[in-house]
Amino acid sequence: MSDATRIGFVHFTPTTDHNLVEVVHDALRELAETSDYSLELTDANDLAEMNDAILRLLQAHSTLVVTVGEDAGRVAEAMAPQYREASFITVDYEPGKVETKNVFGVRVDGARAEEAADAVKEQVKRTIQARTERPLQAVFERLMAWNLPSAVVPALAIITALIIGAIFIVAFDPDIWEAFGQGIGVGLAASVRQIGRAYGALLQGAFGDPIGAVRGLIEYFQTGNDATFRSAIYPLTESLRISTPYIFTGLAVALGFRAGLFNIGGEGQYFLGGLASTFIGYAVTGLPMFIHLPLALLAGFAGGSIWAAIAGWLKAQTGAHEVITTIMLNYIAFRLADFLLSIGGPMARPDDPRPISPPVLPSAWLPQFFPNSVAIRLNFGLILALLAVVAVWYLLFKTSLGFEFRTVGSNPRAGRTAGINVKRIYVVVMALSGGLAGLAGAHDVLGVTRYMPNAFQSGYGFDAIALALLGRNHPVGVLAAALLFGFLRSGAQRMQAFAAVPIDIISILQGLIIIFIAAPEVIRMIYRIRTSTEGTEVVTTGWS
Amino acid sequence: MSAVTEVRRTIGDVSVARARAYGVLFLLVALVIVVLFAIPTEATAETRFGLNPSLAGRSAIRVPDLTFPTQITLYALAAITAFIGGVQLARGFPRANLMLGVVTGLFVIAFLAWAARDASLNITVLLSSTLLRATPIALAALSGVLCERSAVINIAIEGMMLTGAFNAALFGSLASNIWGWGRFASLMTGLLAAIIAGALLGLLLAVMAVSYKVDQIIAGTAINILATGLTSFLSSQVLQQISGLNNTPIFQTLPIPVLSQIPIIGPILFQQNLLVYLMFVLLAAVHIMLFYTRFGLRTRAVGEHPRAADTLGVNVFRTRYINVTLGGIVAGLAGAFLVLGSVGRFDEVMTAGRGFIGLAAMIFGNWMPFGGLGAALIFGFAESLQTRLAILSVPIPSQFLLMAPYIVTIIVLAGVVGEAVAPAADGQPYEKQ
Repeated sequence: MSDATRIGFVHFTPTTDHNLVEVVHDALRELAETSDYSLELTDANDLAEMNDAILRLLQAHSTLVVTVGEDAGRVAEAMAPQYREASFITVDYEPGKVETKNVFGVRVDGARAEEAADAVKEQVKRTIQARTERPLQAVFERLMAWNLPSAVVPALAIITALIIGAIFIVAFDPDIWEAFGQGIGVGLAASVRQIGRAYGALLQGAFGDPIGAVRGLIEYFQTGNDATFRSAIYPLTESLRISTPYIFTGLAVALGFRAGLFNIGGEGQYFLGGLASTFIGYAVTGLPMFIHLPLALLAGFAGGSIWAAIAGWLKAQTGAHEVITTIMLNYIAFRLADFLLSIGGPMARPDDPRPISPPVLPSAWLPQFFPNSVAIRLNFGLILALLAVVAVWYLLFKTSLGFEFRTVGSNPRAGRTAGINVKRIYVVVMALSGGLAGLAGAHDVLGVTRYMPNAFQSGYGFDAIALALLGRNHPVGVLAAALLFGFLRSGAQRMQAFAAVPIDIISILQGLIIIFIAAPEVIRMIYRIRTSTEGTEVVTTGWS
Repeated sequence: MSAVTEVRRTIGDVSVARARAYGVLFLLVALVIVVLFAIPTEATAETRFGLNPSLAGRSAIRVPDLTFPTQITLYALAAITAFIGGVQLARGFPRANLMLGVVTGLFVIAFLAWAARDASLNITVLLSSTLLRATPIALAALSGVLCERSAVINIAIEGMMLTGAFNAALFGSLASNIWGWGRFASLMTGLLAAIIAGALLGLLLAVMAVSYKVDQIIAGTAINILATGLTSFLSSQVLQQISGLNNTPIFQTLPIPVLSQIPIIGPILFQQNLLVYLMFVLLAAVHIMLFYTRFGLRTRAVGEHPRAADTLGVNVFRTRYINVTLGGIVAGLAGAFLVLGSVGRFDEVMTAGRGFIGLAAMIFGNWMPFGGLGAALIFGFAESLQTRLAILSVPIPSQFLLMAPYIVTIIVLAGVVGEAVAPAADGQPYEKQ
């Protein structure tokens, strides 16, 4: 791949104005000769081919695709959201059906040919300039490419969910009923107090005590004692710790979705990853940490990876749908864990009445951020998770493998005609996706519990689907969603302890948030926000 | 969803490669029966299959139990399996998939004969409890069929079942213990509450998936999470706080006169509770509805080609609304079964994935009502077998036995149903032009 900008040029043979095609073509050629652009030409005879033609151009690393004609423009516009690394210039077509930032229309109606050519040249230069001269902004735009309708809707979704949650907290509290029995005023006052207590606890449980943290930090510098600081930030560290496996599993599902695969088996892959890490963690002895820990992490990745790859392989070879096979593999994983860890089982801790594995050796522990504190369990798994976000982002948007993933995801048939080995992609995607879920298990075992408990149903598998959907399958979006879920869950633990609100309220909030974000019309209706024209992005399709 | 037509050579109803693979598989099964079951068995061992109901209050015309020498039977079963495998390999059966079923059946019989060597296994009780355990799964599958035939993926069956179960427990207990109603009236109240709850969630799914065109998997996942949260929250705030709110009467066994007296079949099919019979009625009703009524034809048209159906004057949105709401009702009923048909109380997350198993059963059963029941019976069989084998001397950890139905599902899915096709428009929102 050379540094020169590659321009792809596509038009729709049967109906396009041939004069216009000539003119635009000449203009592009002229540009290519006078600067260091290279030009790639293609055409299509029908609309189905149009999709393939644009794909071919993108695959040949064209970062700028110029189309002529209305039909070509419409196809380009529809593809643009999937391929945000490229820009599209649609001559003779005014984009606007879908909200996209990388499609630029050049209007030519009534203009003379030379004017049209100049307009195209001007737009090409401007677009390329924008791409090359403002790399920071380009990066920022790409980071934001998970395309929230606007920041308003998610914020309102969370607020609305919290309001409905407050109603639940009050409506099912016997003390509040009693207060209402003494009079409406008393009841209302008690309600407000209870809501304040509950959400105050939620906030404090999620974020800790910032003022206390500052005071603790000062105290630490003055006296060298960080006890105050630690207790002030303890809730914050717990929130981050709980977010970590969410990040891994959310990324796992999002990666699958990008390639059109619905990995519903994060739960089973999490277990297999945890089991494999645990086994390496206690059975392999005498290794220094810098070998033992990576080995244990790798085992976790491999465990989840192999488990998921079975489903990918079955889909590739026989067409068995991954939703069903991964669900089945979940149940098989539960039974397998049960067999291995039950008292007397091959991985059970000898002479222990609990069905748990032997302890992981310290050389395989994920290092803690606060090694001298037992309570603070935040560990370097968080760093790994953040690295995974970057890695998945790089893979999806910066490598040709990622390009193939997205192409197979948006249109497997087109991918096949473009020469992509779709079967191989299925296996590779599932293996990577399962590996990420396996790392979530590895984190919990090597960083938190330090042994594998025989507990069924961690719930990560399904929460992860919600995370991927909330984050619109973009790594950064997933990270944000995982932090939201992690902080909510962490805060809810305090809410349960201090305000006697069952932790299950969190699932209610999560469900409502997903509904409101997935159906923004509801939020727009409640708050009377004007509707913007926005494409409905279908992330999943049917069974086949 | 492209219609790629591949020209390929076939033997019977499967491709050449798959036909050969079946043949090899059948021979392997025969080998397994010989090596794992027949050879380790002592020549003098005998197996006894009980054929009479043993539970109190159940009776039928008695038949003698089936007693046979274990080892010889196993060799015979292996020989039959090997013969089928040989024929399949040499020239192929016209219906190879059917033969796969036959061989699976032979293997299960061989396994049971081996497991019950020198002991007795009551087949009637085993199959009767199989049907009982399969009922909620079959209903869940039916819910999926109703929705997906109109091209709406219902991944929320689990959540609908959970909500149905919660409401059945709450209102059944309320009617029985607080309002002091009679047993039957309380049961009907619980059932009705479950149905209404299911219908409402179905409606919610329809609003999101059909009107707002929310991605159907997202909508379903949201409902699942919401339902888990709601029922768990209300369970700990209401059911566990007020005594008598989580203790419903349950549907007792209701033997059907005359039919229940038929040996073997009677106790299995006709000595069940009312909800099991209701399940059969619903399966038949939906089957007739789908394939023999105008509404069913419209439903399938909407599922296969909504645009064409719309052109012909079918109201796509209304059809989907009705189907998804009906699906919700059936899922609510499946949840009610877990409470009113067995334990009589609600526990948090008590569905334990049965909604998803139902979804698998639906695909497994090729989007047909009775196909779903067939698949559900496999899961039900493994579940009830597991509890019984604990009594017999089987040197296999019970966990592996519990894995078996899931492994079988994967194998069959890969082997047979990999070729099944969902309704063509499944999962796609419809945009009216």
